Amino acid sequence: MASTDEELVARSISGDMDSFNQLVTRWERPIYALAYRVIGREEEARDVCQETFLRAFRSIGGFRGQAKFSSWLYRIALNLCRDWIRRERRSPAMQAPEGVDVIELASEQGPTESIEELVSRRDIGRLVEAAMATLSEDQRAAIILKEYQGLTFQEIADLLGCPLSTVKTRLYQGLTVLRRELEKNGVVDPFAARLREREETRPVAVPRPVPETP
Amino acid sequence: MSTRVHFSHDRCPDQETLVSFLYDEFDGSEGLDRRSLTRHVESCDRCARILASLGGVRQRLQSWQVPETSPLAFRIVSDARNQSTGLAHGAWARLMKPAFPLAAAAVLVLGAALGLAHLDVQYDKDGFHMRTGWSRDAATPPTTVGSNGTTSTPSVAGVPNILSPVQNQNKPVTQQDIQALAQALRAEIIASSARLQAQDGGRGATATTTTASEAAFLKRVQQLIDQSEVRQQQNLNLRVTELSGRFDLQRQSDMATIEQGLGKLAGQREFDAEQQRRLLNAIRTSQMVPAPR
Repeated sequence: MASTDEELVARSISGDMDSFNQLVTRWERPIYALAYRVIGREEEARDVCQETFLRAFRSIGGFRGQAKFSSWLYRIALNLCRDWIRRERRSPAMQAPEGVDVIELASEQGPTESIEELVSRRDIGRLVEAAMATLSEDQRAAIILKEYQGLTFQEIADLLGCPLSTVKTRLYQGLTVLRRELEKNGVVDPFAARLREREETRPVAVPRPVPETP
Repeated sequence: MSTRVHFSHDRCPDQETLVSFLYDEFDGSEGLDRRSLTRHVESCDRCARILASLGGVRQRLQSWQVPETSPLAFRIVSDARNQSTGLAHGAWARLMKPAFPLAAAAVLVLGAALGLAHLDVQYDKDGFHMRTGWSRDAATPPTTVGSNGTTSTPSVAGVPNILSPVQNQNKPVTQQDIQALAQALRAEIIASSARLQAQDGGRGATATTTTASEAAFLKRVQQLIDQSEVRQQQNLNLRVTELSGRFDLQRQSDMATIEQGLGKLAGQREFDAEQQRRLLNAIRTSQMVPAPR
């Protein structure tokens, strides 16, 4: 049975490097994903990821378990991402949507997904990436932590150091901005479209014709 | 008394409540009557539209995938936090910790090099002289060392003075002499280490023995070399994998371009043939038309 994070952390604090390396293996992918989504560059995200674990290793002796280990890691990674963004003094370099390479896509085509669906998904993914770049840093962090890292409102609030209500407001506003950006780029909202469709097909009460008076 | 917030038909929830509803995450602090909230959302067109559109955005967000990448190949291989040398305490220790082993190694190497180079340093009435090489200039007779100490040679207490061919010009330098010099240098380094510890206030830091210190130092160097090799190997593997992937992609792309080109050519041929057929038909038709009277 695999050890829990808490067990591995305890062993790491007592000097067991293998335990820490198990934590690295377990969390490198989520941390990389977080860094990539915040920064938008693969190489830099890898650097941030590596630096996150190095810093965690150096200061794990001071980790008292007040928060989850993953939250602690996320906090380190986010701080590093912010440092990087400030250092670069520019918004994250999201790639603008461009032509889709069908050959590249074909190589990653799943067994149940048609090429059209795959193109569509990749295309929308790029539009989402571009739309995310228009968000403020706070809104982007809240949405990434909620949507992609699956944190609770409270965990996000603790991590970002803001009230719970602020997290919810950032999410609401961020999602609203994203909807506007996606619609601007022609991405139809499936739910809204369905709703409109339902409204359009809803039987409308037609006033009964008034019989003409002779 | 309960102060739960009820939602009537004409009272819409605020943004935060809608977000909680959207993610179905209530922590109990909202003080909401969830049943009335659900009823409201189902019956209120405005709220239903907002929730539907935000839900749609959430669905779209899942299309943004992080590019597949190889594992980081990042592992902690050495815990520098626990490493300690004989100079474990004090400001001197902090200053000397990284530099001391390197300095010791440098002194050893320098000593050996000087010995091999047959360095000759002299200071007399003509000034300061430094000479290297095994062959002596016959024109310049060796200076005799006077009791007033006008000639100086770099020497360490208790070290056989192999550095001065002036004193040992008839005696060839042997391997034993060099080893003796190396040992003497080591002894000097240890002595200076002990002096540093003594200056450190005698805090009880025990001096490591020569062999232990050297062994630890050599072990550390070996570890660094090993780590470097492992890293280089991993980098090489990564590069090879990346290169291979790129090559495959390029090959596939080229194949597709070639096939596309061939397809276009075939299409063009068919188009030309069709044009020719049409032309022939037109000519035949025109020939079949009776000439006007």
